[in-house]
Amino acid sequence: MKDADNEPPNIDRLLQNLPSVPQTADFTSGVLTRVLMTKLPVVEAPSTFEQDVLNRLHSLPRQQKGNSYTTIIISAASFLLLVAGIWYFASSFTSVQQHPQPAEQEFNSPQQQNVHTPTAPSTPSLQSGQPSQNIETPASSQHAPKSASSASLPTKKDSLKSKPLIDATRGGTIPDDKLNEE
Amino acid sequence: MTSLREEEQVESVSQYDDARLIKLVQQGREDAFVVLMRRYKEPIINFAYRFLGNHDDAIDVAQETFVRLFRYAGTYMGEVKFSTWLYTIASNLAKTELAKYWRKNSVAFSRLSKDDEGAAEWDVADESYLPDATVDASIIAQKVQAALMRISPSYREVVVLRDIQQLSYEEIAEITQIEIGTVKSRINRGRAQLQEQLKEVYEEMFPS
Repeated sequence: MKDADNEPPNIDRLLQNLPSVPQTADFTSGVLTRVLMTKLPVVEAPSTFEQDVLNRLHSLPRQQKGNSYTTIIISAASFLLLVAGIWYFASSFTSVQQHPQPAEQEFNSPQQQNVHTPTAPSTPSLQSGQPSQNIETPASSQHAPKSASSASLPTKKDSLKSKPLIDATRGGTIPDDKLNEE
Repeated sequence: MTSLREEEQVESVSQYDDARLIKLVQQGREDAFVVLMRRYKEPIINFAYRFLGNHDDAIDVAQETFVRLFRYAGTYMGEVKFSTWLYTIASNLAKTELAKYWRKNSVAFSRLSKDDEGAAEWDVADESYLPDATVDASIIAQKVQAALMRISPSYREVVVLRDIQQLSYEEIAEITQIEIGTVKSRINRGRAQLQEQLKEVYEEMFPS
């Protein structure tokens, strides 16, 4: 018994007894399908295919260029608008801070009032017929505060008195008779 | 590329392999591009046609594929075969085209399915969109193409790449960006659907 157990198995017999792989029901149709697929006619390219592709290729750079120019112009314009907008708001904000309301200017700010006060040195220049020199710039008005600080608060009357001089500076000349009166 | 000199240039590089040609294309060489186009135009047109089922759309997709090949040649790093890369471009363009077609016709299909119970198959395929008549007179070819258009696009793509274009599973996996196992199962399911669709054709070909 022991010898029979140790006997090596007969390979040929085992191989013969292997179960056969069952064929699927639609095996034949599966093969046919694949055959049909491989036998499908080849679709030929039209004669103009290559030229059409090359035409598309050559037309691309021009389109891209156009697009890029448009993009550059639009982006540059928007950037400038943005900068202009920021500058406008910034300048208007600072001017509001630097120059209060007119009513406040007249009665509360001695600095601004002093701008309208005629000073002695300005008169000779008017006589010489060069009114433009007498136009007070913001820079020249910056010198005023020291004298203005000691001056009393101006009244509406004062401001009315000083009005002709301002008009004269705008108009350029003051009639001689008026100057003599002064 | 119409002059004799340009044609001679094309001829001089026509024996180069794909890898060498694409390097020349990356340097802006149009002659190398023309050689690649001549080499692959028919496989790409065939793939697009079998996937889309419309000759004009297939030509358009194939042309766009080559335009993109030239424009984006610089992005090809050589990690996959050139043909695989080219098929990937074509496959993406063909899917986009199909999506456009579906969007355009979805209203008409939904109207049909309301009235007709048997119109469900129109969700997948539109008979007017099946076009072998314009390309080949073979009735069987038309029926096979019609059957292809009735199976799901995800199955159709892999079946066309495998059984018509004869690409390997690995290449198909690269092109479709899916696992090889999924590729195989999709091919099997696609073939099974195709068999079902082509029963009539078998009976005509081999009457029992």
